Amino acid sequence: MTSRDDTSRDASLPPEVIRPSVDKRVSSEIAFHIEMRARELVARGVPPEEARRRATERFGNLDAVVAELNRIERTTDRTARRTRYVAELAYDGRFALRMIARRRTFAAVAIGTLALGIGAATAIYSVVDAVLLRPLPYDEPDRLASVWVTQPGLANDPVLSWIADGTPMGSTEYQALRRDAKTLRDVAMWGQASVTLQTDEGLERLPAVRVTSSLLGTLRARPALGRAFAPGEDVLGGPRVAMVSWEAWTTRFGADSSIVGRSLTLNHRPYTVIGVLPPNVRIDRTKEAVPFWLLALQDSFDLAERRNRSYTALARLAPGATFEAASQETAAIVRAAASDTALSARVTQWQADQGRDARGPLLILVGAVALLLLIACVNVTVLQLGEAAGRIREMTTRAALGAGSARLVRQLLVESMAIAAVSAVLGTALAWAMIRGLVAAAPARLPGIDAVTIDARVLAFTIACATITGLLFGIVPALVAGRSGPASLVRVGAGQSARGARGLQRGLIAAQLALSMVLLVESALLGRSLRALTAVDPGFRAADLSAYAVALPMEMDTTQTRSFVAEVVRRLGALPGVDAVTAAQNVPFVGGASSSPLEIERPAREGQPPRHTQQRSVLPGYFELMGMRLVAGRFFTPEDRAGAEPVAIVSAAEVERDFGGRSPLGTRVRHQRIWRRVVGVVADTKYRGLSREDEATVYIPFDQYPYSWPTFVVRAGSGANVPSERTMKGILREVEPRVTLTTTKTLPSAIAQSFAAERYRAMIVSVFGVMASVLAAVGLYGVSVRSATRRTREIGIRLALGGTSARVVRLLVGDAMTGVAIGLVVGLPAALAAGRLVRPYLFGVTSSDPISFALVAALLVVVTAAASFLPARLAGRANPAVVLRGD
Amino acid sequence: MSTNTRDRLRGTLELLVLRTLAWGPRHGYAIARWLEETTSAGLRVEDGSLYPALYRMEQRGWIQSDWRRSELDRPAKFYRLTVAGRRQLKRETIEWRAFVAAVAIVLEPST
Repeated sequence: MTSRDDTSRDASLPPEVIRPSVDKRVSSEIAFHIEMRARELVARGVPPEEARRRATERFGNLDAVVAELNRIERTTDRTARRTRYVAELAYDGRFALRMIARRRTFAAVAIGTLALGIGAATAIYSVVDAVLLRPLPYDEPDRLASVWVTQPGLANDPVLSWIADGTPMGSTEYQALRRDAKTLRDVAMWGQASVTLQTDEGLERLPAVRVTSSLLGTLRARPALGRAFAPGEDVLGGPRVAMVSWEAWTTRFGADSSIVGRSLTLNHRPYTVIGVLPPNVRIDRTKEAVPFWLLALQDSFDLAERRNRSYTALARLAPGATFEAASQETAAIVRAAASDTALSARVTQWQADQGRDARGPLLILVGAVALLLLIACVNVTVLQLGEAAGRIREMTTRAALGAGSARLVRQLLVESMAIAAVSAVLGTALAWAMIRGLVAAAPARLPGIDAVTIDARVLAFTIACATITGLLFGIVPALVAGRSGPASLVRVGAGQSARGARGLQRGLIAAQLALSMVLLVESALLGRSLRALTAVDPGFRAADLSAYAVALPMEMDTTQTRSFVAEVVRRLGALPGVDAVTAAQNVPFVGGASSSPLEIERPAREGQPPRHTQQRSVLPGYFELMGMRLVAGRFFTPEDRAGAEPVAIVSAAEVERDFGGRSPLGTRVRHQRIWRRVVGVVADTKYRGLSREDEATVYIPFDQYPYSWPTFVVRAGSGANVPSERTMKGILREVEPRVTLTTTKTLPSAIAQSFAAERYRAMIVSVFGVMASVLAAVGLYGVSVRSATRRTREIGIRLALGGTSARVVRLLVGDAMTGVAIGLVVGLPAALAAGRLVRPYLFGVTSSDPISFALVAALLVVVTAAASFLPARLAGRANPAVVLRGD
Repeated sequence: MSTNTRDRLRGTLELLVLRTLAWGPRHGYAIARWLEETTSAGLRVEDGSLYPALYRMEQRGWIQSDWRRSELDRPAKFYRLTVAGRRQLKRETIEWRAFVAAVAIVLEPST
């Protein structure tokens, strides 16, 4: 046992106890006793020989006592060792903090580097956790199942591929599943909707969902207030009842419990509020909680014979059932119910299914941030090895004082952990800021993104991250010290040693460059892919265009619709600064898309059944306003009105698909049971994404097919502002108060939104790439400075012997270049592999895009040259006389 | 009385050691000498039996030891009282007095 009041030891060194073995301690204590006793006897006049004998005799059974003492001492020793271990650890901790405080530059760089890595990792993890990992707030969330009908045969049809993997359901499938499925329980359906709420201020368009009465039961949630939908209410002509979300109740309705039983005017009809949902019930996690829940299957369009499929199904896996078994059973049931053998089914965990689209891209970010963290670790390892040189005296002193290798290894590890711990604290703060950025910049449709936060789960991750980090960058110096004694650590750091040790440092730098290369190549690929995407011509001129989508009440007939649209177009056109106005169904990037089968009078291939074709009814002037190119025939004119000959214009992709490239002019096509003469062919435009294939499209004059969800498009004159949302609302109120404005967007922003996810990915990975290059530069600079200092003597000799400073600079920079060359050679295959991982997310560039690789290589060479040039130039300017004398 | 009589007899030596150390750190031989002198050799123990007692007391945390320079100009193991030991001494002393009082009542019944 050592005591704290023992002042003989240097207080700055940890307690390396000089402990004799147990046996030795016991025997020397007893020897001391006997000797003292003998001396006492001698003092009383007993001869020394006799005194020794009597002292031993008086002690009793010497062997037995020694044996017993050894036994007691050994058990004491074990407990003591444990306490001592803890005490030493605490000491090591304090010592480590002192060392950090003493070596401020090193500590600042190391902590900054790691905080960046840990912060970025924490931020990305918090997003991954919220989107993919954190269990949903329902009972047994892992048994909740998404049930999808799939149509694998449609995967290659550009118009219908979007439903190949998840076809919405209708009441036929729903009833069949509820009746027959053994592997699924509590089958429910929901569908997106929007409602027009009548308030004191006027009409308001709000999102809503239509659900079957079973849905709340499937979630095993209870209403916070009032009652849930009852079975039997979700039928044709069922009661007009609604539930209000907790969020809407607390904000919009002031948490007034008299809401239950109150009547609201939704979609121009009275609805009775029967209950309030519990907080945080979100069926579509990509959207905000919708304020209203209405019942599905109450309208005639939901009848089985209408084949309306617009619902998403949700169920619970029956006890003992697996997702696999449920998929098979569901496939069999829907095939029988719809008598369609092309149908299949996919039953998967609900949460995983919702995060399906987000998973791949998020994994790319996880990979990128893991690389960044690894680079940070390597960087700090290199720095720490370099630091070892400055610790020669400390290490050798402690080794001389008897500190064993194990003791020094532990001390070094504790130091690393202390650095990691401080970095974790700083990193968490950094993560806060990064999360804000990540969430703010997030594209829509990232489920759960608004729930991103640093909670206990994320903190646990951060701590784990910091621990692993501390071990990673602490283990190399510790192992070097442990294997061959602290002196070797010093040698590695100072670079004075054998090739092996110097090789280690070079190897680490090369590894760092290789890792940076992987990350940079990934960001270059994503960046160039984004560039290629944004360079795609959408087929129309989006500049100065803005769109206003509206919803007309179902009660408006076609005549009313026509005159409403005409009047709004007239008023918009009269506004100052407006060059031209048109209206259309499903304006690209603004509205949705809808398709129906198009029959060809004389198809290129006999017996080819009509295929689904994108449909769009447009006002005359639409093509001109959008700046679309006419390929053949003519555009629509005001003469193509209701009652005139039904006409159609088809897109180039349609001509390619159904006419085999023949001119379609003059032939007839049948759309929605009406035969129409084809009068023109227009060039293709993109609708839903710049990277998508061109889809076969048929255009129809609006007058001949008045659509109740038109979108007005305005081209503003140069320099003029487009009409504001407020202006548009004013016009609508005057023309037809029952119409609501659903979306206002400028077309350039709508297009930008379509690649927001790609931009988000590219941006984050690039930020990580930049961080990685900065870290690499800092690491290289540190090493170069050290290497220049270490070689002062050599440089001095070279200069004294007539070497020029230019040659010295070349020598040192050349050294660094060897490192970058090795890094690039090692990094190349790794970067190629990483490129293959991001391949599904690339557009217009291959995963081994030579330009990306060349750019990254060039960047790394420049960074290396810059980082090694400055120290080299300083060394080259040294005065040889001073340098040589100083040694 | 919380301790039984058998323990009491073994505890006597421990109590005396605690008492000794209450005046300051001593090595084993000094403790043995003190015991001889203050009890006027009335409590004759073999020197050897003192050490197991010391080791056990250290294990219990009543005393602590360290090696210090001694009068022989070489390191000797010195024992000193810990805070727990000081508490133990107080408790043992009270119990001992109670024990003695109880025995006295038995041996000299009051009339």
